[in-house]
Amino acid sequence: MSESTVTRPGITRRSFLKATGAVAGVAAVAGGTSSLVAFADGETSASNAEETICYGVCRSNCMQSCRYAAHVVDGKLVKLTPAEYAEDLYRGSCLRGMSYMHRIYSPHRIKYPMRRVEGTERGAGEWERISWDDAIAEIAEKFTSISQEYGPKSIVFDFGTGNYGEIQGQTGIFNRLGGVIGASKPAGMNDLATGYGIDRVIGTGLMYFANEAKSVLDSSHIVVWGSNPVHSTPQNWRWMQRAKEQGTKIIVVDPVKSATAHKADVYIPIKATTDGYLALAMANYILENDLQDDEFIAARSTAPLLVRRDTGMLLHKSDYAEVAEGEENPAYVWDNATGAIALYGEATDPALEGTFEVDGVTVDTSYTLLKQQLADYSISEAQRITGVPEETILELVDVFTKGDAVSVNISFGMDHYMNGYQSCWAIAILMALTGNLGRDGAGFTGIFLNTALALNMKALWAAPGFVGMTTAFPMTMLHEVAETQQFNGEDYPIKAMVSIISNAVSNWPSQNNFLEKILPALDFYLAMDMEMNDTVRYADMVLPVASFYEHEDFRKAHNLPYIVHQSKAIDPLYEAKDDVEICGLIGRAMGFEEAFPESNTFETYANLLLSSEACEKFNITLERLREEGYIDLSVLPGKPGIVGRTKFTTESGLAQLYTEKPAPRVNYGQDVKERFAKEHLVYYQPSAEVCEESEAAQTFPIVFIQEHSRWRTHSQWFNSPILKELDPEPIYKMSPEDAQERGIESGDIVEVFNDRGHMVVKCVIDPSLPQGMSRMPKGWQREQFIEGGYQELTYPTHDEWAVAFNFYDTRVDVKKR
Amino acid sequence: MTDMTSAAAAAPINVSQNTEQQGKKASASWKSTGLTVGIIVCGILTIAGIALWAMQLSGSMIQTGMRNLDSWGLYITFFMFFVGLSAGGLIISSVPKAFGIKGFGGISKVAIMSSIACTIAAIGFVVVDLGQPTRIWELFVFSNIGSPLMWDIIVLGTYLILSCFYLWAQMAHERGRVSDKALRVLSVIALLCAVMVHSVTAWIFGLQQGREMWHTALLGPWFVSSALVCGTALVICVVEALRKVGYLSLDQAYIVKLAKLLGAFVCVDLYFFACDLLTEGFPGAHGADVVSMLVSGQLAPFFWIEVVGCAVCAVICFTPKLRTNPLIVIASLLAIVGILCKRIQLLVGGFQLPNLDYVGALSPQTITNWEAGWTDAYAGMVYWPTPLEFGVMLGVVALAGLVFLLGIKFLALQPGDKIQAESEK
Amino acid sequence: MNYGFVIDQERCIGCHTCAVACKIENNLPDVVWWNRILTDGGAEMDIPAGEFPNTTIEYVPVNCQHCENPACTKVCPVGATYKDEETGIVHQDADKCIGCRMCMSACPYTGVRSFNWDEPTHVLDMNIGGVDAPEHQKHTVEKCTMCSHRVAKGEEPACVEACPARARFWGDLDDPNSEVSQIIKKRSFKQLLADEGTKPSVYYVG
Repeated sequence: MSESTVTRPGITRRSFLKATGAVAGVAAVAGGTSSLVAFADGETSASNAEETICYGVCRSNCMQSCRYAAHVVDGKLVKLTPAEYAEDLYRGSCLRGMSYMHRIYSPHRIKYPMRRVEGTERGAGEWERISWDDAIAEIAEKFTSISQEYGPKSIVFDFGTGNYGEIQGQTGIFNRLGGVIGASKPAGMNDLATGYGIDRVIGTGLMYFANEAKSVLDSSHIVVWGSNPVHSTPQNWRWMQRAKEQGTKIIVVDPVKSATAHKADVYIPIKATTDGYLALAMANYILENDLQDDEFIAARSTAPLLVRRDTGMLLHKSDYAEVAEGEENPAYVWDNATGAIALYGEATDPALEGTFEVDGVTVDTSYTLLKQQLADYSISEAQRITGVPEETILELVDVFTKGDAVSVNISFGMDHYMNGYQSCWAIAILMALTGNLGRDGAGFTGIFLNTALALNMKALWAAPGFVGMTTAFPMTMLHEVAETQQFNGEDYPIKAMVSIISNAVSNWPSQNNFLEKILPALDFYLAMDMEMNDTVRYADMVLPVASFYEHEDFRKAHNLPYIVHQSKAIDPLYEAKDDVEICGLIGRAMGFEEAFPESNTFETYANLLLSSEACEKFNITLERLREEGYIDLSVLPGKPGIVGRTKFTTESGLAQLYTEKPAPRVNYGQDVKERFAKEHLVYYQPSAEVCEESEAAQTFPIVFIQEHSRWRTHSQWFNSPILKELDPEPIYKMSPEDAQERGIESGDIVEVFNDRGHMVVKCVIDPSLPQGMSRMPKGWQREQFIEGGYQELTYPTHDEWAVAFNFYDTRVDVKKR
Repeated sequence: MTDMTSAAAAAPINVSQNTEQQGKKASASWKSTGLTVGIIVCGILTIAGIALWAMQLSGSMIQTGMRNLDSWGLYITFFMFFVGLSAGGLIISSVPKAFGIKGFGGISKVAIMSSIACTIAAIGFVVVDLGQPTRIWELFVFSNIGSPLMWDIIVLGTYLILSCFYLWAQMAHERGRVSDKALRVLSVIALLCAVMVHSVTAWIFGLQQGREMWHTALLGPWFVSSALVCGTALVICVVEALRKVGYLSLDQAYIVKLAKLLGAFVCVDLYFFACDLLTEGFPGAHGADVVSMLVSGQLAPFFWIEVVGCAVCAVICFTPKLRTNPLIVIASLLAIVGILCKRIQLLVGGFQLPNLDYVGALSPQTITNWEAGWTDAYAGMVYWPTPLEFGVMLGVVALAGLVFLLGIKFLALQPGDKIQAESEK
Repeated sequence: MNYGFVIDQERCIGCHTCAVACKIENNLPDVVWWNRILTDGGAEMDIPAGEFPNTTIEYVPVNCQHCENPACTKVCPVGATYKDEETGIVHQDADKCIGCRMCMSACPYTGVRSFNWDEPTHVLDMNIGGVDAPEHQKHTVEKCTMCSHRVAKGEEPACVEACPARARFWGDLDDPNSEVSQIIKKRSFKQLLADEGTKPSVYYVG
């Protein structure tokens, strides 16, 4: 969409505009570009430069989807200003989004394809410029020969989160290339434990657990649990602040006094990673004291569903009758009215609790099993484990039981520990028992994803000649497979890798594993990026890629009820190309002409992706996106999107107190049976390293977390010249007590270390940290440290069921340099 | 300062033999090798200073130690200091005439010459501090009469012209071309102007409500008293030097008289300081920070040098036994150094205590020692000059020396016959 | 008319977006910031004061306060800084400024005025921001213009438009019906260094 305008839209917001008698003249020209000359008050022309405005959406991994007006003068993007959404409070921006052109025009931008100078070490920083033709020929030659010699799986496609455009981004066009090659795609592991844990209760998969941000206006209480929206999702915080101004109480549960905690009504410090215990003890106390929401439990949970003691499965219709494939297979409940079992929905008085004999099989209601499971979790023990005083816990109990509508802002703080999914599962159970789910103002918030509009991924990914990518193991295991060239006892050569919108070297845990085990195994490592990040530095070849504003795309926005268009504001600088073009070049050079005919353009792929039933229903077309900029996808107009408003996305449509068929998030050949029986009912598990009882805790007294700050989104913006003026260097923050014990003062250079690695960095003493906690804003690259880097400190293992990265489950010690 | 004393110190070696004759010869052009050397040295330093100033302009002022949070430095310190030095001389020479009392022997013209030289230096320091000296004409075209800086420019300019005229008038008077009465009237005007110069310079600082250290009504009189201290001290030093090299001879009684006067001025100045400290410190509010900064904080060395130096100066001046020539010179130098320390305290002190006690991002333009971080930037002195600033400063001081020495060389500044005859009685 | 800002510190999250917006809109040279986000707390930016868990922190965005009784305009010897009676905006004319820095010493809000100690450089090899953004000159003082080039077009200052927390308000303080007047009528406010008597046109609420 291109349009010319004289003043920004959103005039309604401020009355002063009337007073100054501004301007009009919006001449929207669909698909075309027209110019504008700024003028005001009838006095013409503040300048001679012609400015065109087109619109786009920021697509970084803060997952907030701010829409921007891109102001272009003489073919150059000179300014980004927040652009409107129908719902004004969704209009957002931040210092990163606004300063994106400092990345586009950065003197550090990668300008042309480059190859590591032959004979130099990876990471030595010696590059030679090559032509696109040579680059593509070499890539095709390497991929083809490696594929022929070792099989296509020996080529690893690593997808990152640097672009959430539907075509050019994470789930976009490179999946089509990987699919025709048949490459390996290690299972992603970022931020997936939260959703995995909550899914146990409300069936929302990995990412669909959150209500729309504006839903908090209906909350009586917002419990910000282990997240820091003030820094990491300020566009969501804006809604929470509004709610607070309307009287909503905000309570923060966090091991550190975060920026959000400083803004909250109540801050509850907790020992890191013990949140699950706290939630379960509260749940038990609530049940023991009959404070639960009986109505919700009876109507909207699986409380009455009967569980067979012999198998651990629910008692289903299929246990007694033939149920055809695809036919519904409801579970049985105990009908007190008849003293017998009845299919769910058919009983007049279903028993919520009790143990019964049914045809010689002992069955318990799900609720009874949960109650028994929770019985061990006491408030007094919770005080010991979590460090939260009993009276504070009871106050929090009051919030959940007496609050009209409690929402929990959760995101990915707890996620980043070995026990992340258990913590989130426990909180989901607490929410279910107190009826704080599936209604206005109640439920989880975090990153809202619109479920109503399914795009046709298959059409985009499955090109002619599609064989599909192989996801045999998760990212954390790549270093083992690469080192041994074996997986599960069988040969699994790993010979080439390409990082796609990904800075894997920086953002995968245990950096030394990447450098010492994965890289040496590779014959060819291809990076594609705008800037010289860690990944590019260690690659064999780098291709310059187009920025957000140098290509067209659209984003089914995270966090907002819209699908948003990105128009191409400027031509790619230097020799940069967008992913559609790069994919086509590589694809054709490898002989996949059918999948990537030269005639295929962005439009071709966009139309494929938008060719779904849902798109038809919402009338989403590329033309409309181009014309209107964004399209509202709200299901109930004017009402915030609420997860499970009518029913939950579980098999039964109910909130599950008992998980019938728990499954690991990724199956990679691990022993699933061992824990299966344990995974039906929520439980607390201490974290691997951070918990006080761990082995690491005996050697390394300080917990280290990678704080998400306002300065960077993961590692993006790591080298923004404008932001580095404000935040020039890596800073390690430690508590006054820990610093004092080690004779460290603010400004000292310290070495932070554990048995996996180290970093040498400037230290600042931060009283928002309790003794034993430390943190550092993440995103800095290795060359920005005095020595080492923070990602050396993290461990590469994962929980076998959640299969997620555990960045924060890290302990260190510190000494003064 | 440094150059004048060094020039004067260099002189005796060359001219000691024929001191007596030359001293008695009141000629328009006074010749000595030492003087020539002094002029050449000052000339070279002046040129070097101008070259450094050109570097500062063509390069940039980032080469100085000044930054946004401490936006004035050595130049303005020396501006204050030289305004003080300048007025002393004029007051010493004009007071006796204005009030028709007995003066200080034949030093009147030399004193005025020192005033002229110091005034030129003071103006020079303002000029080298400007970011856009080529826009200086704007001062006359777009004058904002409300600005204390504008007042100062007017008063300083007037003062310079008046000093020159006054010097001419005295010389003319000696030749009988100007009447006693006219000279007396002129003396009164000169005296008023000298007092004004000081008060106005004080107001540049004293009228700024934004700086705890500066914002005091006492600053005006205090600047006058400080000027009297260092001005008198400077005259003593100059006269002693010129006596030594035989440029002029002066009865010791006059020197003693000057020393007593210096002692009195020093006491008044210290008294003002005490008043100010008490007023600042007594309420225990923000002013207490000023007191502790001076007495035991970052500026303590300058504070104690001033206080002890001035106290020692007063003791020397008031103790007859100690009033030997070398000790009087030492006392004078202590007074001059003391007042310079006062100027440093005043200037740096104005920036040392931030008004907004909040911290933010630091950039190379924020504060002198920005790389050290907020706490450390203020831990020591918030400002310290760079070598370039010292160089430019030396150049401006050398210019003053040059002007003075040229005056000595080419103008008849020795005591006129009348005065000399009087002094011989 | 007397344009002014109201800054809601309750809403402000210290994110620096307004500072960045200002820097871009006005094509500010490297290391120059007209709008600085200061931390009212501990000894370093973003570090709170106090002891865990009773720590406190607040953000104070500070730009030129466009005082009703400005200290700077009085002392400028050439009238390069002056108050526009029409709008209440305190202007700084870089073409006229002689670089004496009287205004910087006079202004109690140290740091809102910025002297180009160095030749202005721009890390990007192009002009960014408003097409009519001001020029920047070596050895002259500059500061927040209240985006007068935008105000002249009927737009609000860039910092206000950009604020994701909706913590910045701008309007005519003389108009009792303006949003800014309404806010300071209803809520308790403070002004920076109010006892200096400068009558700043920036009100902090919350």
